[in-house]
Amino acid sequence: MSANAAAEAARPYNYAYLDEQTKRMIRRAILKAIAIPGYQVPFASREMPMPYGWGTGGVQVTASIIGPSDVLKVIDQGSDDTTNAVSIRKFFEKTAGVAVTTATTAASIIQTRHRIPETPLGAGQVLVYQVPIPEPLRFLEPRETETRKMHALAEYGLMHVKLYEDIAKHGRIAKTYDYPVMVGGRYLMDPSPTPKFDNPKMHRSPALQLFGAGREKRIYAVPPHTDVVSLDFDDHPFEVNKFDKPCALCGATDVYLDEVILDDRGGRMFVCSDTDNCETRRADGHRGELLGNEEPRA
Amino acid sequence: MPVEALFAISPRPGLADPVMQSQTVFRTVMAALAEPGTIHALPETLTGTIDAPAPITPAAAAILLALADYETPIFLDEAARNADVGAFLSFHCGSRITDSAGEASFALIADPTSLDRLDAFAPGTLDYPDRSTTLIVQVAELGDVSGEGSVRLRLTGPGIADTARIGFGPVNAGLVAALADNRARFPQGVDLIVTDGAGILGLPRSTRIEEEGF
Ligand SMILES: [Zn+2]
Repeated sequence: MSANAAAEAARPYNYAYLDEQTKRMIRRAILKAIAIPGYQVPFASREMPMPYGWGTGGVQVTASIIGPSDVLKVIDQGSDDTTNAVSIRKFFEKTAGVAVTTATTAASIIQTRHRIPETPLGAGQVLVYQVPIPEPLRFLEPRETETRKMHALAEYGLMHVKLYEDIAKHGRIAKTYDYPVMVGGRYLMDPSPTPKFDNPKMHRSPALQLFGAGREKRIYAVPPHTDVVSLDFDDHPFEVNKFDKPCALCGATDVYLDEVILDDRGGRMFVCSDTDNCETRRADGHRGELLGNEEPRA
Repeated sequence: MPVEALFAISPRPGLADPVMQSQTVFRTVMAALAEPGTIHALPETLTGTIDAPAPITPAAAAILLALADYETPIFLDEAARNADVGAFLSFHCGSRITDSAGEASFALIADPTSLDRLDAFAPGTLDYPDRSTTLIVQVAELGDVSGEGSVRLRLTGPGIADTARIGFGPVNAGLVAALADNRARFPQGVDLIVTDGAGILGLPRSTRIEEEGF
């Protein structure tokens, strides 16, 4: 018996919580998902020691890929510090014995809910998304048999009609998050409820992107360097959210901002949703309005 | 049954540390399928401990031991179809060995010079393209090839930044055309994991393949 096997035998639970049979099944689903970019592979989702809203699909994907040499980062709405992010990080520290980090550049696996880090991802990194509703057509067509047929035939006219109705009604496409994309020119895919601001980051990313939906029992993937194109129209091209002001803390202008209420007299500020990006910029000497508006000396 | 008889039929050792080594093998295969055209190596410490019956190479055995189980029937090509191989895979994976390529989750191809077509394997359906066969193809050379029955390919598609060039073989002269036909069926089709015993090359159905001259 090797040292690892001895350690395994002594461990009171399975490595990374899931039993080996479940991991094998999820691993096979992940390989199919990579081979068919954007296609939702059904898998037999397991109960996890946390409620569904906490990202059990993402947790099962991470548990099936993670190994002792990984460095894990977990973000929830861009933050490393929410209860959800901290719990998942601790879960894998304990069950998989992995190192954890908040630095995007130091992570080999990043599990995320609702955001893609601002720092561009690199080759070899894996981004695992927690997905509540994987089917982009579900709100247009509730029947699974019908949506499956639409994917089989790549018949996505219904989605175009819906978006065009938006334009007719609102003068623009109303969706600001969960904005549908075409993957590899073949499958319509739901990018999970990330803001549409993040959609361009998915396009030809050098990182591998894996999506896990626990309740809906689906896994899908975008391999590195794969086309991910947001749906749009010639006369209404896709545009990302724009913010009027820079981050009040670090002065960043090209990032996704969250509104923070400062007091009960209507005082508010906009700050980076990506806490690691904001902290790194401040450590580098960038100061936003609230901190005196400074830029680092060259 | 006397104990000695049990020892006589007990197959050779598989993965020394199934939990951790399966994870290592899976991540290597995952990286290979995510980046077609790039060779990903299994650690020698891992392949070195596997004593698989001929003609399975340690790398091909490691892939099956990590990914196959009672839910995944395995098809063996003629070169691999022997009692020792069957016993080894049944014992370590719990997989059923099937004579039907069309119902196999995995297919072990020990002699790719006989692999002239891919359409006998399960391509999945348009509704469920994931219900397909993954072929594990053992080749003598991978990467730089001499040309003796080997092919040089130019690859484009998901996982490849621009173009990737890779060679392997020797393989059947009809395989490149069969791979092109396989791509034409996308999203149906089979996926290939090509290995020379140490390195792993992923050729998912999404990859566009053209042959290059020597
Ligand atoms: Zn900031």
